[in-house]
Amino acid sequence: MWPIIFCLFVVFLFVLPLLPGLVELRFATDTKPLSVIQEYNTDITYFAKGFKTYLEKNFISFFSAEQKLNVPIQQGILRDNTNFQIIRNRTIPVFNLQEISRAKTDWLIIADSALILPGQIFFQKEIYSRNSISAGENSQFRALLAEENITLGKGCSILRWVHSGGSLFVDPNCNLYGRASAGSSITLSKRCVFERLHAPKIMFGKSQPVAAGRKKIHELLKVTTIPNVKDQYTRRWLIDGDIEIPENSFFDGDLIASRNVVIGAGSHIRGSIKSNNDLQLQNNVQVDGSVVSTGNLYIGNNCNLSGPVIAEDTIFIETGSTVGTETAQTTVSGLKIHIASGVVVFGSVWAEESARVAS
Amino acid sequence: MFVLILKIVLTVVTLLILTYTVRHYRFTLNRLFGKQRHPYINIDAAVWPSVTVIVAAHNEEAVIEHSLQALLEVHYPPEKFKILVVNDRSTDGTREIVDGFCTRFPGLVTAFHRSVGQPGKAAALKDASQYINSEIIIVFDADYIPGQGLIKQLAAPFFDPEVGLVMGRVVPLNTGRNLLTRLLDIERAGGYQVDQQARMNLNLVPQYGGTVGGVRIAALESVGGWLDDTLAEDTDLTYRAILKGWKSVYQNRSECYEEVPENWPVRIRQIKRWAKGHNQSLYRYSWKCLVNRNISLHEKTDGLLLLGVHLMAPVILIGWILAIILFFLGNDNIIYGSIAFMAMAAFGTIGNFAAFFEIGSAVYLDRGKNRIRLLPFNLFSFLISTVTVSTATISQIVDRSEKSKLWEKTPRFREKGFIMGVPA
Repeated sequence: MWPIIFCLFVVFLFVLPLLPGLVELRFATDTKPLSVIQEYNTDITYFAKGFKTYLEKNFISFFSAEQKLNVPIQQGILRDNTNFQIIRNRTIPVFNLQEISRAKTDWLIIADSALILPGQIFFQKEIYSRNSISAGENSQFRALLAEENITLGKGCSILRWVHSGGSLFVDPNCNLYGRASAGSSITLSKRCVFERLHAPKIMFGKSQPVAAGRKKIHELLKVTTIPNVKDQYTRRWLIDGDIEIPENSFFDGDLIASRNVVIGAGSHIRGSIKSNNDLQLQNNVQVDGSVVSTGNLYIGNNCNLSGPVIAEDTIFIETGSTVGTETAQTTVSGLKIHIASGVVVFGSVWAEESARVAS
Repeated sequence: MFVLILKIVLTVVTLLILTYTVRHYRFTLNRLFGKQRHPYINIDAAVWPSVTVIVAAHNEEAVIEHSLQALLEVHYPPEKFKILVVNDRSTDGTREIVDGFCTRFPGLVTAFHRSVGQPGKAAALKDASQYINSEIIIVFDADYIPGQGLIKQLAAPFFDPEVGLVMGRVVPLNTGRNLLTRLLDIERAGGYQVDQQARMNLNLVPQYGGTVGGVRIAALESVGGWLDDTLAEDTDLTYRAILKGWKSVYQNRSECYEEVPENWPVRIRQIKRWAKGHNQSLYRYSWKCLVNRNISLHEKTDGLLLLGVHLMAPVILIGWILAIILFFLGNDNIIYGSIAFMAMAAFGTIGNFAAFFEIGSAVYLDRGKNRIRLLPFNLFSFLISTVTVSTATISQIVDRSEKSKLWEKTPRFREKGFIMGVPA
């Protein structure tokens, strides 16, 4: 008897951990494949486009060319319980006393003309203008979309995304969490904090880079050998240890160091650079390829980089430097990014944690 | 004397298993609590390199249309993007389907119909090399369904001049079919979400997996191109590239749907092929890996452990058999016996389950819900894999004829009328 009981007990112990699995097999409650969004294509305007589609679906008459109402303010509630306010032929939305006293509003605002939004208010829902949007100081926005320019006053915050079909102008001390994009250009003032930017041209601060008087290639010292080469195949130079390229040098090829890289002032690298620690480009350096660092990346004054520029730690970009060109957009991507006034990037700037325009 | 030899062998086996146990725990803890590396995933604007997407096909009429249709919808500069279908001796309707795409999209989709030569993916890729004039190739098997942003994501790491190989994450699509597909779903999650990403985080050797992966042509040429005498061209290329100083990187957020085997005989054949291919690389590259100057000590250690991963199956079996034999032979040394017992007990309760900890953590990271309940069933899957890999390894040692090197294709299970977005 006891052996049978013992065997049954052993079987019970063995089966016990399988019971939840057997229940799951029987009722199959979690069988779907992991979600992979097939339509995701890294487009920064993904949410802006989604929002526009939402508006076009819910406000058919507003987007219809034929039906034009002359009511200046039209208010209502959508099926998803969203309060909306349509503004026509005027510039300022309407708020009640409670909203003004609480400095908070939950209207989804859509306007067919230039929109002027007051300062010191938290706009909890998205805002759309068929024309431009100008925001007062110290306001907070969930998301903004304008077919033309957007101007954010001092100290404004964007919590999700902002997209301008024209140019986006951002005054000092603004916080752009999430995505900020523009069809034409973005101008970010001092002390602005951001995460992800994209525009054909992104200007940091008021001053613009001045084209540096670079030496021509034949005036530079041509570097043909580098110490501690581990492997060299066609254009790729794999170096054991640090790489130091002297000032005013020219190197034709891709440089990869197992540790740090320093490129001397005035040098020109026709190729890409990779460091497996910190990387420093001194002033007036030109790189015709990408610049990649597993550590910090310091880019001096008046450098010209074709990009992409990638660092796994912090990127510092000093005044007068440009990354990418009008015809060849590129990306600056790092954990943290510090950018001085007078820097221009053509394309994207994306910080994993945060980026800041210097004072 | 006999018992002493058994004890020494068992000690060595236990140390080996312990090493892999530590490795599993290190990877899992790193993935759960360590710094995660995704350095290239944010590149969304660039002058993109020219890319040829290679779709390797052998009797793929059930699946290839979905794959090609998905590839036609990807976002990549059209002047830099081509699709090359390598149709390797198909005898079904694959050729007609592929030719239909070539006619409809001339210049964008081209086909290399291969009717002679050595069978197998490696040989087919080698023969197809003459048709490629891009900087990068990205390889998909014909059952894969890439998303719109995937090609850019897989091309982005090549802006790093040190990167020679890129690997994306494989996500099973036909998860709900049966117990096997559900187990493979969470096993794959463990392998990619934890194992590969941890190797990426720790600057070790993420493995190029032969599909959902990219290869820099310069890197391929520098190591002598594809070798057609290998059963696992992916592992083979990973090691040749690493030994030459190229980096392989893993992109966990570059996900792509695939089809997993839906019955055990197919799964067993797949495991056998992988095991033989992997062991082939172990034989060819373990010593070279050990003495190479281009790679760090960390990479060497990880590379060697990765090469030995399939050899561990027979080692574990030997360990179990020895433990049983020693138990019945008795032990006259109470101190040694106690230590051995404690070590085996600790290993049995904790060490054996390191791989399951990895799988469980992956399901947690993927925010899976009730599928974690199936984890204990992986014990059966583990036992089947152990026996299968051991059998394959032994047969590989015993039978060195060409027959055992023949490549066996994994059959497809997709049914007609499949619509993307409506999971099985």
